[in-house]
Amino acid sequence: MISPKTILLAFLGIAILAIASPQVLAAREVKSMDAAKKAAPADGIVVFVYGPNWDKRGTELLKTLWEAKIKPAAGNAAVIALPVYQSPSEKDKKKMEEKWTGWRAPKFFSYPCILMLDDKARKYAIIQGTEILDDPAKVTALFKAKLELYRKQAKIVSQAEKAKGLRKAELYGQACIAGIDPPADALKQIKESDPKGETPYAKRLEFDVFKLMVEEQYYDDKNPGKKVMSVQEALDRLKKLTEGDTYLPEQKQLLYAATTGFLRRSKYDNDKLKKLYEEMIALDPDSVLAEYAKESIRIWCGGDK
Amino acid sequence: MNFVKKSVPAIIVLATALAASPQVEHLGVCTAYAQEKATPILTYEWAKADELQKSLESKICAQFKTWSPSETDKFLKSPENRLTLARWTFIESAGAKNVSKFCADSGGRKVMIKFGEDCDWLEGYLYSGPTKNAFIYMRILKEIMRKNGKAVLSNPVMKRLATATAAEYSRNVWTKKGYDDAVARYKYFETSYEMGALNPVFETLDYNNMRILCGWKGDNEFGNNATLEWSRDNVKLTDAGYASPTDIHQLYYRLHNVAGDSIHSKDYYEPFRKTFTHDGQVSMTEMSLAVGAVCGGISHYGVASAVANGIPAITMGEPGHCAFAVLVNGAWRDNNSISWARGTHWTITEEHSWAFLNLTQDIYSDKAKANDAFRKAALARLLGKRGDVNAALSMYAQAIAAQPINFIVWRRYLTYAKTNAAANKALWEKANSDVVDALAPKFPDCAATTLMKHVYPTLLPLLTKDDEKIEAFMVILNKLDSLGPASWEFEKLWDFQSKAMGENSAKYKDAATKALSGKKKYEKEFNDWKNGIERKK
Repeated sequence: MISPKTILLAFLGIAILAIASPQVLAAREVKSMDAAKKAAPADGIVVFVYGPNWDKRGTELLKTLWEAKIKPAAGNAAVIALPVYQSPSEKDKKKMEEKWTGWRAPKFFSYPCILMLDDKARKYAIIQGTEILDDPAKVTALFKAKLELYRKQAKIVSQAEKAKGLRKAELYGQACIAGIDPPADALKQIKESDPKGETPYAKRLEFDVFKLMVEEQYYDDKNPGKKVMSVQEALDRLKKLTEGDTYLPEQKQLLYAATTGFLRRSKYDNDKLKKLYEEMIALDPDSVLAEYAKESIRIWCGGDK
Repeated sequence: MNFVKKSVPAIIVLATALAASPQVEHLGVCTAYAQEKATPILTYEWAKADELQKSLESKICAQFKTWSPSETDKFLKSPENRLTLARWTFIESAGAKNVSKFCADSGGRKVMIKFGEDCDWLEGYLYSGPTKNAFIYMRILKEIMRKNGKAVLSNPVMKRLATATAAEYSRNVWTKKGYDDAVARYKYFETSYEMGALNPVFETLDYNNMRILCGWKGDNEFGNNATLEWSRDNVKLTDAGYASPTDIHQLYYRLHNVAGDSIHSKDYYEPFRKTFTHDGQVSMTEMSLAVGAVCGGISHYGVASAVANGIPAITMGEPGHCAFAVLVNGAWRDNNSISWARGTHWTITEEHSWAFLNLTQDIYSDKAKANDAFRKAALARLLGKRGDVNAALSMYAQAIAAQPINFIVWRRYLTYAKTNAAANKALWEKANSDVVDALAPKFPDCAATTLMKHVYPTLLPLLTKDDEKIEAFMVILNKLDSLGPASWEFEKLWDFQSKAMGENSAKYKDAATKALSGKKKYEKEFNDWKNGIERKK
């Protein structure tokens, strides 16, 4: 026979466990974005944007994906579904205003979408397009993975906030995790903590292949008389930028793409060009740019001969 | 058979309702009536289309004595008469020999029987745009129906879709790969519709807008199914979203790609094509998003995405630029535009200006008036074929009266009059003022274009004195007030008129200065034109 006292203790135990482990808690449904921001939940804010009167698939996903899968997987996030009406009536407009108030959505490309926001309602990830239309189990897995990355990032950022100097820069650099956006002020923090650029992180965040390579090779609108880069200068520049681990593999591939394009138009030796394309492929063989390099070999370097 | 028996009471109710409500009847709701009560045309009759056409013609003519407006209206109130007229017009458009040939095999006959018994369907094709290559239209329709006949016959949306696709692919002769591309375009929309993946705007499109949707870039990679499928799933916005720069401008504007290759060379996309190829087709929108684009790609991305979701959109050329337009709540909205001087890349009406795009929308927005005008124009065509010039001209006048802004009917009328009444000065002077009255207040660009293309070339040789010419030219200038949907190339009108005056152009300029004096939108521009100052586009 279980006594009422035992039952009470069991309930208390469950309640304590739930408080101690935010992941066990169900996400908190909020009525507006304003309320979501005020709640400042540990797992941020998760938003489902959909078109109730015009997007049939999105409206179906509200039940089958959002309600059934994503909300239960949203941990300690504030969750809200935001409608966007086509040709809204006054009533529709009112409904939208009530929910959207106090927030402007980040740019997204397609409805429906899941916007994953930090506690200040700043976007760190979006699931949209073919990703959200995929099998609900896969979408949920992707969502959970991104939420995990966010948690990981938040943990590193909290350590970084307490650190100083290069260690702080390093931690902010590590918080720039592939798969989600970097922390809001990562670049600022890294630059302040590492003013001499001893860590690679600021360069990675500021990476712009057009500024680093493409524009240098061809033209300078403000200085039309500027000398165009020579083949050797381009090769030297590529070598300098790609040695070491300053840049990530995909960034190095972009530098290769820019350089090989320039060399190709400069009638550079085909065999040497092919070798560069092969180096580019080796950096990340499964990437779009590796495919680009393979196609470049086929088109411009006589195929695989 | 059971279905027919069960449907009889419903048909009686419908027929009674139609008889009791001539207004509704006249709007063109004749499908049910036609299918159940119209005189059927038997298989062998379609196979002898020349004889059939003659018999249809006799049947029509037997109901007229004077071809007066009251007779015409009475004739057109009957759904069966409208069907008879549509059947005659279709044979005339396709050519009797072609129809007979098409009906030589059982597949063709089956399609012809279904198509030819459905007034709404026939009229939907005949009156929604040009019927150029109508015999190819039938072949494409047959090919679409071979695998999708059930959907086409049972769902009015699919019927409009099949008709529109066949109409545009045949008109443009996009048949390099036989009819596969047309069937694929149809299938794309049918499948997407069944999936619930299209914007609800799609099912509300009339035949004309469905043609704009289905006919966009049928011969271009941006119109292939890989592009449409990717855009449908990855760029789904509200209809207004496609007209909003904030929402739809999703591409990087890059004159040179990451390898430094110019957008003006094929090398820009060439090495990326394989990555974005699905089932042998390159998804152009997906590739543009990854690689970059300039104005052309950005506008094609917007249009392909809208079209992929069932919303009519169209790319437009502007000086050194590419823009686009999207249909939102029945009105065209421009996007990525930098100039008023714009023309659609592609058109159903053979007129490319922005004003004509908007005018066409106005015409088809009033379905009852448009159909009335097109039916009367079809009667005029029949009369013209019979050689009854006066009756044909009078019937064209009735058609124009039914919908004065219908420039397509105007064009047919003026083309006919040019061949058959070129010396009738009174007719051409009236046409000059009637075109202006009908079009100039809201669409001055369209009025001017119609005059320059279809009125002045025949009217001017009939005017021997300078004063007469000036008087004719002032008809439009006096009426100019607003610019219409956007500014337009009124200098072309002034150039035309001035050049027509030859050595006496100064006289014209004086008269025009007076006519345009005080007109806010035109006075300064005219003076600039006179002084050779070019206007910024």
